[in-house]
Order: sequence, then C-alpha cells, then structure tokens
Amino acid sequence: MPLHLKKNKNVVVLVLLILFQLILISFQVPLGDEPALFEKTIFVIFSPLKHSVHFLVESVTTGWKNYVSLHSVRKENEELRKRLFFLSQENSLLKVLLDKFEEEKKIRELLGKKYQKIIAARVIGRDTSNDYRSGIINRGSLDGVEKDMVILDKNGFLVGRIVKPITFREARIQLITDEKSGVSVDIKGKKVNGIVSGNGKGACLLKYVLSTDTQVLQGDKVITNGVDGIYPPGIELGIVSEVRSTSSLFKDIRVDTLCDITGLDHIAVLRIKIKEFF
Amino acid sequence: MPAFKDFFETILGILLAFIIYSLLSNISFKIVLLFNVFLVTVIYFALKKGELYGAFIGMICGLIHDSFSIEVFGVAGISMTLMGFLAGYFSKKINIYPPLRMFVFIFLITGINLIIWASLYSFVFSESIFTGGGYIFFQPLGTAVLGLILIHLLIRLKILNKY
Repeated sequence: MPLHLKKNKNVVVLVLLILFQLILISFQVPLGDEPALFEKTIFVIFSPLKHSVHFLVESVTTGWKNYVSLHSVRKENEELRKRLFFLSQENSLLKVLLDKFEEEKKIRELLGKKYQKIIAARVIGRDTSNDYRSGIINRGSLDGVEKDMVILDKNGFLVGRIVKPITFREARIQLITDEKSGVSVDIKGKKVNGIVSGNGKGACLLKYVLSTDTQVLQGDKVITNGVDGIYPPGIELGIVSEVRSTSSLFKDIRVDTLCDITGLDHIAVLRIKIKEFF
Repeated sequence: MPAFKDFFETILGILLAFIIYSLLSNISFKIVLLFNVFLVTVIYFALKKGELYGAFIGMICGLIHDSFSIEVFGVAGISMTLMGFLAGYFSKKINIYPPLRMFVFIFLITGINLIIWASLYSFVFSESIFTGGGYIFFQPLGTAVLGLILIHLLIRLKILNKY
C-alpha cells in the first residue's frame, strides 16, 4: 500500500463505506419499486424481531387491560346475559326465515368463498422515515400474501396495497397517503375521475381533474374505479375536503382518508384478483 | 477471546437498539422521531472502539433504519457512517466525558446527522422530509438526553471505560 494511503487508512475506509452505500442507492433506480437484495436481506433478518417485540407489547398490554377490566366484568356479564337471551331469540327467528329462503344454499356458499378471500392481519410496524408512507404487517407468503394485494381497514375502507419485500411471516404495505402511491378513482355518483396519491402528511390529493370541472364539491365521496389494475372498483377511499381552482390546467383537490391511517391496527388483506371484478 | 466478545457485544448492541426502536414505535411514531436510538448505539461504539468501528456500525444501523422505510435505502446509512466516524475521531481529540460536554457532543452529532440525512433525502427523492408536526426538530435534544443517561449508565456499570 502506498505510504500516503497507509497514513490515511481510516479516511480511505470511510470513503469506501460511503461509496458502497452510494452504489446501493444508485442500484435502486433501475430496480424501481423492487427492493435491493441487501435491503431484502436486512428486512428478512430483522422483521421477525419486530414481530416478536410487537407480540410481547401486545401480550403485556392485553394482560394489563384484562386485569383492569376484571373489576367491571360482573356487571358487564349480567348485561351480556340479557343481550344473549334476546339475540338467541332473534337468531332462531332469523334461522326460520333463512330456511324458508330458496337461495339459502347459494348464500352460504357465496359467504364461504368471500370469507376465504380475506386474510386478517395486524400492523406491527411503521415506516422509519415517514409514518404515512408504509407499514409492516404480520402476514407473509406462508399466509398467501402476494404483491399488489389490496388492504382494507376493519370498516372496509381502502388503506393501501402489499409491496415488496414479503417474508414468510411479514410483508410491507404501501399506504394510500404515500406520495408515491397512485389509485385510480371516481367521484361517487358523478362522471368525474382522477388519480389519488398521498401528500405524505396524512391526507391525499385528487389529481388530474380539470380546472373547468364544476362537478367536484366538498363532501363528495371518492371511490376506486379499478382502472389502475390493482384496486378493485367500488372501494370507498375518502371524502373531498377542499377544492381549489388554480391558474394551472388542473384543480387542487384535497381528499381526507376514511380510514384512520395513524391508528391502523387490524386490517384485511384481499386475496381477490381484480380480474374477478370485470 | 476478545474478538468473539467484541462481535457478541456489537450484535447485542444493535439488537438492543432495534428492540428499543420497535418498542418506541409501538407506543407512538412521534416518540421515534424524538429519540434516535440507532445513533446512540453508533456513538457508543465510536467512543469505545474508535472512528473506523463507529463508521462501520453507523453503516449497519443506518441500513437497518433504511430497510424499514419504503424506497429509501442507503440515505440514513451514509449519514450515520459519517457520524460514527466523526464521533470516534473527535472523542479521541477532546475529552467529551463530563456530562455537559457529552450532552453538547451528542446534541451536535444528532443535529449534523439530521441535516445530512434531510439534505440527502431531499436531493435523492426531490421531496422534503416528514417532520411529524415538528417533533423531528427536537431529535437532537431528545437523543442527547437519552444518550447522556445511557452512556453514563454504561460507564457506571464499567461496560464503557472513560479514557
């Protein structure tokens, strides 16, 4: 090794480490949304640990909640017994009605199929740089999770989609509030469509609605239309909260999400392919 | 077996940082913005083993941070590599162990790390960083308090030698 390099060995190593990372960054450009191999490896190693920490926190929290709630259990139990009595009555009445229904078998089959097409999951981690960009869920390829599967919250509102990396038991989700996300949408009940993407701050923007358009109003509901080939049509996404005309070709339209992005916990992964909708 | 001990300690340190980070993120994302646990780990190893080791741990911790964020891989890695190197280099030149100096030292390192990370992020992705309602600007303060407590605790426990 030349003498001047030997003297500055530490600086040379530092430069090499930085160069290595610059190469990693530049590798991501041709890969698009596909994560680099090195990133995948780190994700595969550390995501089970995140899963375990979440499980531990959840167990402690649930244990504590259970302990606290013991105090009100008796009263609640009595109320539940009363409700159970009435619900049992209602249930038997409904069963009689259902038996009379000609299409009963068909309904049961249909419900069974739909149930199989949902994977219940929980959010176990959020994006380290921006809470509103992505998250990690506790379901992976072994549970049948695949790229571009659609995520809904517990009320059926759109949350996002599955992106890579997907490990055996964990997967990353891209939220609709991510600036890089794009959902093709319609305004419910109106002949207006556009693309919704996140503003990176918890809300969304409806893009490509012409400034001359007068149909979009505050309070309008935004639903998916399926044109993007990922999100099935008819899923409710948000409500128009602000419409501003600008000097440019398109309007500035802010959309507030219907799902609670910051409080996401239980979610549903849809295994239905968009082709099944057309 | 000092090499094995060092390796074990490094792995344990990184795992602990990741576990604390995961615990904090389970409480609230805003707390994660306040305390840069990974950087405290980087500073600890830089103080203990010098600038090269600090830079290497900085790279590992930064890449772990990046791998749990969508589309950002290598940005935090670069800033933490630089900070690991700087922390190790300056800790050899200046006595940073008195509490006030340690506080100012970690405060400055976190501040510079934030500036480099934000600049790189904006340059690479052409967008501004997520400030979490301004919480991120308190990161140098939060990390300095956390780092001061943790590093002095490790000195008390004789895990980290002062000089």
